[in-house]
Amino acid sequence: MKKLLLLALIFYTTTVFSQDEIEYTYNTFNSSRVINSHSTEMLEKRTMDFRIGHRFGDIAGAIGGPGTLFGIDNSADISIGLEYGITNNLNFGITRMKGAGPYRQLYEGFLKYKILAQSSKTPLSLVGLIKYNVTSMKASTDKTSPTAFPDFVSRTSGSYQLMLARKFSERFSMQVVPTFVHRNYVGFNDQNSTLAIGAGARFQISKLIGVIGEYHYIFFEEGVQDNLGLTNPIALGVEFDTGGHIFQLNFTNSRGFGEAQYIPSTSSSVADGEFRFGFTIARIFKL
Amino acid sequence: MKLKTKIVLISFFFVTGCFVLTSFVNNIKKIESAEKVSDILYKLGDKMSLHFIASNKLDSNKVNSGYNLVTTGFMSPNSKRQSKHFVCTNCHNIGREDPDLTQSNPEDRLTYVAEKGLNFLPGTTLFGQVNKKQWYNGDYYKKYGDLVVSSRDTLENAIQLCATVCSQGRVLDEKEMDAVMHYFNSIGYTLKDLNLTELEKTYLSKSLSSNALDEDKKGAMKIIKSKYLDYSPATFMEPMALDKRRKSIYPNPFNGKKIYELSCLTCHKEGGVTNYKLSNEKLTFKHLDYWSNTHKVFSVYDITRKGTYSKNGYKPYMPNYTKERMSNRQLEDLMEFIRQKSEGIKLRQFVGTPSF
Repeated sequence: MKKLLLLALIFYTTTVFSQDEIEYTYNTFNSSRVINSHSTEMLEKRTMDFRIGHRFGDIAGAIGGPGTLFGIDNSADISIGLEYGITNNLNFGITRMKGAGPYRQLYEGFLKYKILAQSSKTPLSLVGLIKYNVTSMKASTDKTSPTAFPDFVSRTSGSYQLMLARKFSERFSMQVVPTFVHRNYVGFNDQNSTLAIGAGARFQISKLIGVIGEYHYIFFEEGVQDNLGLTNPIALGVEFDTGGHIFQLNFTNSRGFGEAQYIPSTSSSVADGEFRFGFTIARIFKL
Repeated sequence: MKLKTKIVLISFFFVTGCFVLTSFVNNIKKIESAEKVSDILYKLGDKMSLHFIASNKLDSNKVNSGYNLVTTGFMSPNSKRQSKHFVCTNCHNIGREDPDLTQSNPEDRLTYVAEKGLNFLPGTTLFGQVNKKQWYNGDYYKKYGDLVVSSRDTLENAIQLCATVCSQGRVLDEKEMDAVMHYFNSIGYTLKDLNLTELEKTYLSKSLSSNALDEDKKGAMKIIKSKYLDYSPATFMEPMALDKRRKSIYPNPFNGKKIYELSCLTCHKEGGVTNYKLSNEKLTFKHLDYWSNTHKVFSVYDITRKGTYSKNGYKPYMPNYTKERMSNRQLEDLMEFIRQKSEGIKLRQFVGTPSF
């Protein structure tokens, strides 16, 4: 009995001691996005992130080159959004996007929840993300079009992500992102549900400058990729954290923002010069 | 004389003697060390400031409300936040921070606050503010111009200036100001803070007796007021010239560590009030070390002395450290800490022949 009590005491004191020692890992990524996809970074309670993003046209290829100033003349997608930290572990946001795939004039809302935080006791951060999209574009009169939208539900789509990240060192962080996208109304030969597995990473060159990249592998149903000429989204960029502002400059083959666009609808091929310059400016406000 | 008469006379003198002695003892009743300095000065007949509230008039609910407003920005859960950017305690301690209240010495203060578990902040502690006679002193005119004129001799005006300009919040309403005044009076200096000698205490006790002379009362007031500064000196300093930097002999990185943790990280840690985050990572120290060889905004030498001016709706405001809040020696200690951390070496203070 005495031994049991002693063991219980040791366990108790060890637990208490361990709790005191927990050191959380911060700044796994600089922003709430890697490039296209969300990162495990959360907004602090009562802070608002105002984000403006732009994707230009193809740098090279048939519609790129010097004629369009390497895509600067064309705008593939534009997004403007507000995100807010309800708590340190729960964020929500709304974004308006021009839209780059078959669906245009998109409104997107999301809820993001931090399930696990990397610390001296937990090796990884785990964040869940639920997004809901609705398009306000005028329905096509062509009944075969993916934008015919016979009802409201067909205008909507959703995406669900889990982000599993680790900050390996103060310079290098990486995350793995399984994604499930479901679009309620799609065109012929397309698939409603799309599963993808992605990875994103950041290499911090200095306190203010980091190199970021991400890639998503899409599990297409048979024939879909070939019929629609779809590709896997890839992006590479550099980001500047000036303390309040985050500037991300990137090159990516995906035209659209938001998982419901870049996961199932990327059709540009980097090998053919169909990649574009883009940027995102994020500004944090305390409310 | 008859025995009976003798007994009556002896009894009379004894009773009278006891009465006189008791009265005298009552008159020089020993003053309590926890008694507020303001209360004692009031009893001595000093002219009191507008913000004075006697201890026996302090309302504990108002004191609590004032404390909440100062530390959280909310007077009560249902009240409106005073500022969305800062709370008072981001820049001011609420405990005693100087071991000697007659001095404003940053070197002594750092040791003292580190021992007491307080921060090393750019603003003067709110503890004992009611005992001051002037606010926004010295060079603060250079920063705030005419705004400081009405704030120099009235605590209420000084608080409103701090509330609206420094913390970029709203004006405190009458109820809030009243609560803050009750709280501030509750954290005024007490007699024990003045480190009086036994002789001075006895003199004070005598001066508080009902039959004390005016000269004694004036003398007692003089003694009390000589035990603390009734203003916080503020001398602005220009950022050190580039060729003068890192020339301090034997800078102490351990002091620098204290400054980094108790000063810089107070606002710049994760979850702190600013978006410009600092950490204990080597990249952060390399960044600070690199920029400190310049006059740019990320230079510790420059931002510490210049700060940034507050602008409405513009969050990243940093108050400057005056000479009295951080010495150049301490700045060099901080930079030595940053340098050693950026090089990833174990902290050590170099002694012996300087390497430059």
